[in-house]
Amino acid sequence: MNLTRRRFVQLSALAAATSVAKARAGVNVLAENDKPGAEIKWDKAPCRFCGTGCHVRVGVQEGKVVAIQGDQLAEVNKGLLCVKGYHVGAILYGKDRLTQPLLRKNGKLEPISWDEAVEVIAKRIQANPKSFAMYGSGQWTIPEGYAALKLMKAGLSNNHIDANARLCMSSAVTGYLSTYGVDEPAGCYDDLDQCDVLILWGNNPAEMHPVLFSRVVDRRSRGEKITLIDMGTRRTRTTEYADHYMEFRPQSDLAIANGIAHLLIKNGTYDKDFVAKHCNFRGDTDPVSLNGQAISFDDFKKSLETYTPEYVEKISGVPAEKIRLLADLFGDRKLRITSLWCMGMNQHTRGTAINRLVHGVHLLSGHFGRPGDAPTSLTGQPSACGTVREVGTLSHGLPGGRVVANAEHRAEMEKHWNVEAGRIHPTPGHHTVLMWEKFCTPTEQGGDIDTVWVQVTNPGQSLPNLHKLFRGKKNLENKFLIVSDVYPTATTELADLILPAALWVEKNGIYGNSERRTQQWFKMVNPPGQARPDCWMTLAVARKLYDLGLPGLRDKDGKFLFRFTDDSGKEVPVWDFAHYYDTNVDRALYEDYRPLTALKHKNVAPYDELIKARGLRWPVVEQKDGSWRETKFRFSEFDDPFVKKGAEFQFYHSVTKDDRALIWFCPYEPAEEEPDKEYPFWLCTGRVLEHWHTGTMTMRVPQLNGSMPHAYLEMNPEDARERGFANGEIVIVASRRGRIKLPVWLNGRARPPRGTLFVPFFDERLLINEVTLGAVDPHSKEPDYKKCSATVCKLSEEDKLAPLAKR
Amino acid sequence: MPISGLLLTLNDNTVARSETLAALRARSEFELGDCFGSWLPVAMDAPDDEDSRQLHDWIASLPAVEFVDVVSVHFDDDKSPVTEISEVQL
Ligand code: SF4
Repeated sequence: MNLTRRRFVQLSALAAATSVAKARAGVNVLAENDKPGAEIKWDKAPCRFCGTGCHVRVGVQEGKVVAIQGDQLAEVNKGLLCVKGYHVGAILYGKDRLTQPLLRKNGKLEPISWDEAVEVIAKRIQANPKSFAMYGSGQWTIPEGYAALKLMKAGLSNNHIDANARLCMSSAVTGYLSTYGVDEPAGCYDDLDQCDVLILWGNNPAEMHPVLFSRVVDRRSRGEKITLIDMGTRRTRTTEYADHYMEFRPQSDLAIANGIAHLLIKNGTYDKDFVAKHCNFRGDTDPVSLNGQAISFDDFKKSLETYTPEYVEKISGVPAEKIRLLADLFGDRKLRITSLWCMGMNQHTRGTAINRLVHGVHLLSGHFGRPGDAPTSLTGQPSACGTVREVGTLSHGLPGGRVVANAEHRAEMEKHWNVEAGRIHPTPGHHTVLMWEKFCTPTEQGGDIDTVWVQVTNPGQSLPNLHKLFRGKKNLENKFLIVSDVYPTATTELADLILPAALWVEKNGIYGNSERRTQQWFKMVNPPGQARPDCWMTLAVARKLYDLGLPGLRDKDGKFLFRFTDDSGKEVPVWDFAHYYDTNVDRALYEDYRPLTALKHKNVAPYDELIKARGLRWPVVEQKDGSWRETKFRFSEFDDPFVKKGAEFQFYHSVTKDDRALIWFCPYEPAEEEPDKEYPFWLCTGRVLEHWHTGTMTMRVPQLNGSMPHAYLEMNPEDARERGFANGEIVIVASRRGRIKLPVWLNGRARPPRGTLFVPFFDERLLINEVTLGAVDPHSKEPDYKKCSATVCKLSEEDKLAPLAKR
Repeated sequence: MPISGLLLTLNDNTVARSETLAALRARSEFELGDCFGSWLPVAMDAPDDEDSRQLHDWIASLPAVEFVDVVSVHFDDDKSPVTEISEVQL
């Protein structure tokens, strides 16, 4: 290729901008498929990719998605999409879609019928229901997640169900739970329109949540002043827009948060009135527990004494005057301050702790509960909130914020599902890392999971420490992996049974985005070949188990656990795919789930209201005139209908049962694995703008693949020079757990400081998760993908590397 | 060195539009695509982060520019070759 890399990138940038310009002007971005004369039918859907939850208009012509536009009616994105969103329609049409069930026979995948596939799964489960596990994700629709959860927890009395969201936002959950007693953000995206200061705690929204970032940058274009503070371990595209960049040593974000709290108290600038009325103080127990123990304000103050700006500078590398700057901003009540974070704070062995501390800084300073004053986590998956957090598709969870360990919650669910008392097992199942560890361990050595059914995710690429947690399955004869997906992936490579799945607008769906917004769409096109919705697969297996006589699939009256009826009350046999669309299964499952959301005041809107809207933010409450009102700001009297009149703020699910939130002290502690002589670099992993998650969809879109065709090793030029690496040279990245070969990109897209490495995880050919650590946060069980120690060497020096640790 | 794909939303004042287009064309950092309705795609190649920020501010100050959306971004180096994936398949 004669084109220089620079020219290539310039042309890609112009092509990407042109496709967005066309889409915004209403010109068809998939226009090659457009046949003149045939009419395009438009409908709405949330974007299939990230947790921002933009709405798109989907244009369908002759049974095919031919056009995508940003939805002008959507409050989230106001007509704008990012480069991925404009190409979302193309994800349906990759050449290698899976179109029929495949069963591995004598090591070879062979086509089988759906009847056979369903029977194989049902018989595996029937043989040993306790050793069966389901693994899904925040890409499950709400009805899909609800059906899977009910099958497992009520049908099989088995809590071994977990979701990929465990790997990306469970520390945010434990942060909210231990601060407010209830999960999910109090604020919403409107805060981005109204804040004076936006603090980014280790996230890069310019690439990961680009539409939200544009919303902020657009304010500047309109002449508004907004101070952007980027705290990170490497410069990113976000830094380019920041007024202040604070580069901190990995893991030391806890010291920074404590440093701010220290100064707020020392300077007397904390909000005494807010704290006195609405907060209690909390510290860890030994051993640690989610709700910790009460401490006094004086204990809190004393614990913070050592976190002087100079001490924080020593730990974090952030200059003391910048810590003072942060404390001064928080100490100014006239300002509106919003904090945003995502994986940087969550994928952290101290993830729960840093989440608590950021909430604590906002509570202590009173920057809470007014538009623009909010601590808000973002999610990476489109329904991490809607399906995983709200439906509760986690090993300890039940719908609507209930948990299996709570007898009252179990009893409520048993009543709701009309099953006998005691049906739901009180012990949480295996969380993600443990589930896969057990699956990859021989049964006789305690590996008590024999069969895993993976839906809508790709653990063969996204799990940490892949050799141990995924590839370990390879030589274990009695372990059986079922994967339903739309394309071949790193996970289907080891699958014993592959189920072809319908994708996005090939089925009905409901998602819930990062700002509590529930979003509905209808099926618009048929899936290819024999691909079918995951929800149907779950119901068909449930029915087969019922037919085989597994008692758990009957309710107290002996009826099938999943009963769908038509308007006349007659049962619709939805397990027979010919009848799946005779009724709206999504509506029925969602309406069955909806009343369960009231317990924690997360009241989701009726299905029919969702049809009319571009999503509605819960709690959604019916008004006297019969209309439904969404809530933008929770716990604040001016907007939240559940706050008592005159209370101003009320944390009505408070851990301490006194309507107060908790301000925690959590100390800084070194990382699980820090650089040393043998592995002298910090290794961080993450995403890039063009690809979503493990790239299985976006790598099949030529425009996106063309812009970012493969993974790379981002490296500081000085470090590379010392090792004699040239730009583009293929080198080895190694840790104690694995090693891979990658091309070096000097500085890459960011500006990694010396001693740090960054590798994106979207490329299934270059699996960085063979190198990552897999150590988890003690509360959330979320692994740390953002830091472990690693080394790099030339290909010719591989024999000098220390041997890999025993797997 | 940052290379960004930008989407400019232009107002419909024709005089302001032509002034804006002329100003953009006069600078070597920008490559302009075809305008679709109010939307003009632009590739911006800035020498460094600092310049990139200044260029954004400059664009935003042009008379016909209402909004600047960033749709793609690359931080690149002239010397970096396009690595074909076959070269890194191992
Ligand atoms: S990928 Fe995320 S930011 Fe981009 S259009 Fe989709 S939802 Fe919006």
